[in-house]
Formats: sequence, structure tokens, C-alpha cells
Amino acid sequence: MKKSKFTLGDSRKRLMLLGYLVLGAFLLVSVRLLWIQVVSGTELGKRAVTQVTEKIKRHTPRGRIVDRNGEELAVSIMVHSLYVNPDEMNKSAKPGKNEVPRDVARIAAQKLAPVLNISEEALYSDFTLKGQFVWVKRMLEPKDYEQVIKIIKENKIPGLHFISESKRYYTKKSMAAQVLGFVGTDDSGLSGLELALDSILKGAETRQTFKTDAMGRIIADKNTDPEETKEKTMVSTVYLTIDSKMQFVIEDALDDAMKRTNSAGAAVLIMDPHTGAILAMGSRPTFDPNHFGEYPAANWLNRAISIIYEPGSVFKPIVGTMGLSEGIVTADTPINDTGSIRIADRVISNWDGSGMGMCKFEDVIKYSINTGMVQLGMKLGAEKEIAWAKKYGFGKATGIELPSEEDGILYNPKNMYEPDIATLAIGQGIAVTPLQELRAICAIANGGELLKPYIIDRIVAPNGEVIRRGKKQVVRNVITPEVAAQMRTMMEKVVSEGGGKTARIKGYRIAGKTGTAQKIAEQGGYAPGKYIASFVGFVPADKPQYAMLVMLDTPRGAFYGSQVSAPIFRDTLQQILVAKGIQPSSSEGLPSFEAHMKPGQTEKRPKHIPPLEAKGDKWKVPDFSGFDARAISIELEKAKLVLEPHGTGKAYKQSPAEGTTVESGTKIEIWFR
Amino acid sequence: MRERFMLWENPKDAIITLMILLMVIGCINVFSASFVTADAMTDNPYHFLVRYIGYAAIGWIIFWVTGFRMNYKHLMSPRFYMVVAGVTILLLLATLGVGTVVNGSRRWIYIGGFSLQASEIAKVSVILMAASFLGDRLQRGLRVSLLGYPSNQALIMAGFFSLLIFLQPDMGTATIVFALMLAMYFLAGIPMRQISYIALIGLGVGLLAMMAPYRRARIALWLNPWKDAQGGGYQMAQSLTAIGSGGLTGLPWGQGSGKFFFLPEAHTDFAFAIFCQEWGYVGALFLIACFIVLARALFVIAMNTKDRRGYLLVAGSTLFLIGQSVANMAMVTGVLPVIGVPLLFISYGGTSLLTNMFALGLVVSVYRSESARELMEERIAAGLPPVEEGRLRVVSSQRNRRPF
Repeated sequence: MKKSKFTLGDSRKRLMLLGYLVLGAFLLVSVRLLWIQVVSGTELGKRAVTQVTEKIKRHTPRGRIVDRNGEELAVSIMVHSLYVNPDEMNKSAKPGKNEVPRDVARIAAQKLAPVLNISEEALYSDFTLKGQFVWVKRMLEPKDYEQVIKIIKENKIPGLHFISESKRYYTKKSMAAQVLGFVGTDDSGLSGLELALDSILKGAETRQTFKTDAMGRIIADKNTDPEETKEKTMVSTVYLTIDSKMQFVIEDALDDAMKRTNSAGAAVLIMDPHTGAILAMGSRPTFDPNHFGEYPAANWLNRAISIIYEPGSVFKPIVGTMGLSEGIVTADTPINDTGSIRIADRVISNWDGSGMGMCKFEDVIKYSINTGMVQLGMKLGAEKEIAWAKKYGFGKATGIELPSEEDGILYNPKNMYEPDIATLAIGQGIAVTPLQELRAICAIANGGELLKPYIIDRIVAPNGEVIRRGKKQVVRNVITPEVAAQMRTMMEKVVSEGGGKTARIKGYRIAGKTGTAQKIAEQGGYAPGKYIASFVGFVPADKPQYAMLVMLDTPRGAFYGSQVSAPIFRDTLQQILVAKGIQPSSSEGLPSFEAHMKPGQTEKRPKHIPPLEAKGDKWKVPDFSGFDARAISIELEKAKLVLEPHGTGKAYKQSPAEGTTVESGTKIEIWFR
Repeated sequence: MRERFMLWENPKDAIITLMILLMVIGCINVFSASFVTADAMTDNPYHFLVRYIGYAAIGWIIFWVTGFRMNYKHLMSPRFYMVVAGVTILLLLATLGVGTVVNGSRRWIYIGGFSLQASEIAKVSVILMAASFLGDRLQRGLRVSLLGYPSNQALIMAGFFSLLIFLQPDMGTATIVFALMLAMYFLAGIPMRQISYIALIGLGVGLLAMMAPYRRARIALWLNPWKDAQGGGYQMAQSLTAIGSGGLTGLPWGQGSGKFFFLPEAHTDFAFAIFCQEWGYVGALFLIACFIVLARALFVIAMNTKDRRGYLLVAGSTLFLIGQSVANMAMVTGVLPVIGVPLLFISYGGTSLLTNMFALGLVVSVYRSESARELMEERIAAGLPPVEEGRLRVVSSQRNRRPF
């Protein structure tokens, strides 16, 4: 610009310069757009899709849990959960030209507080959060849901939405609470069967994808909540072996016992001794699974399977069968009861410290004589004691379908000193779960079979197909039927003549055993003044239908098993026997395989019915002559053979003949006289 | 004249054709970008579309009156200069006084359901005042200087406008208004030394601004909005997401997700992002091409205008209309930091649409006047009387009929 005058031409040159700058800027933008749209377009496109896409997981109602007869124990229904989209509530308030924008959050909080039973301030602070999803209240009761709907419509409140969720209802409240367990938020089983069977019970998960705007509202149709498009899928129903009538009786008895004895805890179990099916299982302290959070976690514990204790005298029948099986004793073997016995540095006394002098081995069981058991134990020795205990399934979880089952504790025989060998015979120095103990007793009741207990009878798919069936599983044969029968007789005498008289039910033959064990302190050793009082038994003694265990942990006041646990056994079984129509033995005409024996002749055991021999899927028929119809029918039932009896009395003739191989379902004709 | 197909005969027709084309695109895009917001705010998804069309109708009247029924020279008198300055200052003061606060700043005056953005008017005022004041000095061969009074009085006036706009506060528009006046001074012939001073001062101010950590943070976010895509970089990240998701050919019309409250100002300052999302790179290039053709038409008129005031009027309008548009595109694509400038005809904005139409009307007015002058000169050169049938007829000159 050395010229003195600035001309139009000069200005045009400057304009030209600016023009090129603008053109350059346009080109720059074009290149930049090429980069954004074409080079990174795919990535940014994904980003755009991601931010508008919302995936919602939904559950259809959780599967039902019912008892063996189809009585509902746990059911799920779909209920509505209320959530707020605070961004939507506060931003989409229409700023009218003249009217003052209303404080929607405040209005909503005011109206909803009484219905939801949440304070207005708490609601207001939720409604004014930054974000797009805040639960207001989950699982509204249906009547509350309707009121909320009404409030939303009347006040035109934006941003409040519902999601359907499956809510679990335990129809019988705390009944079998520890067995059933409970379900947490998001339909996940947290305890008990709900946990164990979570994958089966869990409602089918459906995933839905929505396009939503920046406030999380659905773009497609903002007037419908997503739940209305959900699919309905049903889930399997779980049938338990639990009989809710029996369960009700034991729950009642447990409540009563807890009140009377003031115990720290308790467990009751009823099992079918022939199949291993759990008919009732109760635990105290208990809780209501509908409101499980309101109870301490200790109440969730299923004491029938998840605690271990020293069984004490209820273990004696088991040790007794060891002695019988090893041929160390018979029912009549003379034993000298001295009242106390010294083993190495330890003195073991009877419960009252007095001795009976010379007595028979069956009296040792009948009167729960410690010294007699100790003598037997010492003869058995560590190796055999432990081997037998293992055979009986101790030291290892039973494998029932319930979670958190304990294994129990067994000595390593190499580490056992003489006093340990002696005390094991009286049920000390071994830790068992109530279920393990009852299962071992069941082996005595059923003639020697150690069963795997089960609690799931069947699982039925929505189409009626049975997808899983619980059935009898024999782990092993522990003792011979003869030994079992001998022990049954002894145990029957415990109730009829010995220490378990308090368990007697008029008219019924009951076999049982009481037990009172000192409680193991948590820090080791025994807790002074704390006992575990138990009773275990089965009824009817001759042909057991129900085996039951009662365990009271630290009862206050009376603490002997015969004083506190046996009466519970008696009271509950009495109700159950009447309810189930089990005829009293004394008026029952049908003789059992023991009935023809004269009293005192038990050592000369009746010839046990010869078992059917399996031949592949066929069966070899034995000689049934000399047996009664009932025993034969029980045997035939195992092979699903059909008995066609002629006459009454003892069998003397049969068709097909002995040694014939038949298929299941074949008719077996037997003549009696 | 070559025999070839032409969309337009002369720059004026090109401008009108492109105005119609851009307005149609603008209508479609404003509707697509705004119907979600409109529905949420007023229950009427067509709210912004109807208003856009309404403003456009008024705009065409303004354009027709200024372009075809008025001589721009009437607006170039010193008295009118004072009127423009006075009215602009009054409007800006009124905005500060009775304006409605939106998003923390007072930018609009609401009159009977319509909003008036005085700062948009200030931009046109600057062009008018610069053309009138500086054009007169250029005509008389007087030097202009940024420092010497009275030649810097228009700059001082623009500085005052800027201050009032800055107080709204609207720093972006304040800068644009002042920069526009500086550009006019640049065209009016300020010495090179002062240009370098401006550059140095600009650099200094920029560096000084960088001292504040929050500004540094903003610059960092401009360079990489993904670092805080949910916070300070949200708008930019959303803009880039919208543009990028359009890809080469775009999403089906109306299917772009940006407008669903993801992208703030989707139908105003960031309308271009929505356009890119729904029309893709192909659409974006077409739109850019439209702007380049429009720019060239305006540029050709400026280059052929001999009247110094008319020349500055057209040059200023070109810089104003095209400069803002390219700045908007650069901002939306992240080339420039976010400054609130609208994209001509594509962004929704009532006042800005009217002022843009007015500025285009002025350009047409200058063009018509120059055509008449050229015709007159041709007639004189051909020995004909300067005015046919005793009256000035406006026809397009041979010279300007050539394709460009």
C-alpha cells in the first residue's frame, strides 16, 4: 500500500482474498465431513444406534413350588414396579406462555406419598435427581398400582412408568421356610430350594429392545408402557415330597416346643424310611420368606441339614447294629453294667451313675446304658467304628437337593485314643447332621438300606411332561435285614419298656431312641449346661411308615431327650397317624414278619422273606411258602409284580413256580391257608 | 451468447433460484429436526415448520420490496446512517431491559407471540452503516484508519453494538458484529500495518484467554469432545455422532436420532448436523455446493459493482451471509469451537431469516441499479440516448448475462 490512494481495484483484491479464504473454508468443511461421515461413519453410526437403543430384560413369573399333593407353597404373580424418569418428569413440563411452569415433581411427590407410604421429601428428592431411571417402589400391591395410575392420569404427571416384575408369595407364610428359601430382587433365588432350583424356577427371560430418546422415553409409541408387549411364558412346577399336612403338624409342634422349652433352636424331620423321601422338615428359629429381610440371617439356616452336633444316645442303635453285624453281641449277650467304666484316664458313667449289674445287651439299648455301649465300642475298635460310621453315611453330605448341607465330622481312626473309641459308642466324638442321623435310623427301619434322601418328588413342565422325578436311591446296604429287625425290636422296647416311654402312642408299636448330648462349644470342648435333646424313631415298629427325628438345641429347664423331645415325637406322630389313617397295631389283624415270633424268641429270627432276584429287567420268583400275604405283597411290589391271593393265612402254593423268570407286571398267584 | 442450458440468466436469478432451493431444504430439515421438540413443547409437531413458513413469507415481501421496489441509495444517506445506528442501539438496549432470559442470557424481545433478536439486526446495521460511511470515504478517495477519527467512527459504533450484545451476554454474536465491521474496514482500505496489528492483538487476546484454565478446558474439549462426552463435550459429541451416523447416503428422512433430545439446538444452530445425518455426505456436499454457487453469484455482483457504497454493501452482505454459513458448518463439524451462528435458510430463526432476506434484497437492489448503469453506459457508447423512452428501464445487461 505505498500508493497514497486506495482504489476500488485494491478493495476488490482484498475481497478476492477473502473469497478464497471462504472457499478454502468450504473445502475444509467438505474434507472434515468426509472424515466424519465416510471414514468414521460406521463407528459413529454404532454409537448413535447404541444411544437410542435400550434393552430391557423381563422375567415371566417364577415357577411354582407345591407339596406332593399339589398344594401351593410358593407362587409368583406379575406385579407392577414404579420407576421415575426424572429427566422426563422435569424437562417435559410444558412452559406455557402465560401460566407459571408447575413444579411437577412437587405435585407428584405430594399426591403419591400417602399411597406409596414413602415420605414426600424422599419422593421429591428422587424425582429431582439427574438421570433417567430411579426405582420409586418395587412390587406394588395391585390396589396401590391402580391408585397410582389414577393419580398419574388425573394430574397428567409425566415421567412415571411401570415395569412388570415377578413377585414371590409364600402362601403358607413361614411354613417350611428354610426348605423353600426365598427370592431376592430380580427374581434370583437366594436360599433353600429357591436357590438350588433357581435355574429351573426362574421365569423365562425375555429381552426387548426399544428405541428411546435422550430422556429415555420410548420413541415408537410413548403412550404404551413396554410391559404390554411382553410375551407370556410359563415355567415348570416343582412338586416336593413334603406333605403340607404333616409339615403343618410339625411346624405347630415346633412353635409349641420352642415356647415351652425356650430352646435356642430346633429341627424336626419326617422321612419315608423305605424311599428316603422327606415328608416334613422344620427348623427353628424360623422366618417368613415373604419378608425375609426382617429376620436375622441365623433364622434362614435349615437346622435339619446345616448344623452338626454330637448325637449322643440316639447314636447307640447304630453302634448296636455294628456289634450285631460283627457278631460281637446278640440281643441276649450278657453285659455287666457297673455304673461307670474307666477307659485309660477317663471315667464314663451312666446318666444316673448307677449300674444294673448283669443284664442283656438289649437292655443296654433299652435303658441306654453307657458302660455297656463302651464295652461294645472297645471290642469294635477304632477302625471298625469309623468304617461302619462311614458305611452309615456319616462324615459326608447326604446329597439331598437342598443347598448348604453339612458333611459332619468323623475321626481319623489312626488319631483315636482309647477314650475316643469308648465315647464314640455313646455318640460322642462324632458330629452329624439331623438328616444323617435320621437316614441311618431309616436303614434300621427299612431292613438295612442306606438311602439318599430327596425332597423333590417331580418337576412338571408347563406341557404336563415330567422332566425330573425323585425316586428311591439306595446308596448301599449297610446291615442285613436280620440285624435291622433285631435292632427294631430293641428300639421298640426302648419305647415300650425303657427310657423312651414318653414317646408311647396308645395302640401303636413305636421304635425309638432318646438322646441327650452335651453341646459342643464353639471354641471347642463342651458347653456347660447346654444340651441337645433328641429323639429319633419310627412307626409302626414292625413295618415302619414314618421315621422321625426331633432335635432341640439347648432347651431351658428339662433337657433330657425323653423329657422334651420324645413328647413332641409322640404328639406330632399321633396326629399324623390318625390323619393318615394308619391303623393301630393292636387292633390290626394283619400279622407282620415278626408277629408270629413268640416274645423272647427274637434271637431266633423269623426266616426273612426270600427276595426277588433281578435278572436284567426280569425277576426270578423265589419260594414264598410260609409267608403271609402282606410280606409277599411288599416284596412283589418292589418288582411291580401283581399278587393274586387265594385264601388267607400262610402261603403254601404258588404260580409261577420257584425259580421262574418273569417280567414286571406279571400276575403271581399264591394260595394261602 | 452461447447456446447452452442454463438454470439462470444472470446472478440475480441465480440468487433467487438458490434462495428457493435452500428454503425448501430448510423447510424439510427444520421440520424433521424440530417436530419432536415441537410436539413436546407445544403439542404441535408443525409448530416450527409453520413459523418458518410464516417468517419466509414475510421475508419474501421484505426481499421483494428492498430488491425491486427500492433504491439502495436511499439507505446510504448520512441521515439514514444515524437512524440505523440509533434504532439498533435502542433495540439492543430494549433487549437488555425487557428481553426474556433464555438459558441465562437476554437475547430476545417477545412481542405478541413473536420474538425479535436485536443482535441479528445489528449485523445488518453494521453492513448498512459501513457501506454508507466507508463507501462514501472510498468514493472520495479518503484513507480510512482504525485509529484516526472521524474515519473510525463506524468502528466505534460497531464496538458499542458489540458491547451491548456482550452484556446480554452473547460473546459469539458480539465478536461477529465487531469482526464484520473490521472486515468492512479491511475492504475500505485500512493500511497493512493495522491489519498486522489486528492479527497481533487477536493473537495476544487469544493467548491471554488461554490463561484461564476453564477456557483451556473448553479448547481441549473442542479438540476432543469425546473426553467428556456426557459433560462439556456433549453437544459436540452428539453433533459428530449425528453427522457420522449419516454415512455416505444418510438415514431415511425423519429417522435420524439426533433430534430426539440428544442434540441440543437441533433445529437452530445444529440443523446442519441433522441434515448430514439424514442426507449423508452426498447431501452435505450438495448443500455446500449450493452455498458455493450462491457465494459466487454474490461475489460476481460485488466484483462488477462500481458504486463504492453498493460495492461495499454487496461485499459486506456476502461476507455476512456466506461467512456465517461457513462458520456454522465449521462449528457443527468441530472445525471451529461452538459459536452461536446460524446457517443461512437451514437453521430456524425468525429474525435472522428476515435480516438475511433483507441483505439479499439489498444485493439485488445494487445489482439492478448497476445493470441500469451498465445499460446506460452501453447506450452512450453506442451513441444512443442514455435513457430509452425517457425513463430508466431495468434490464439485465449483456455483460451480466453470461453464465458464471
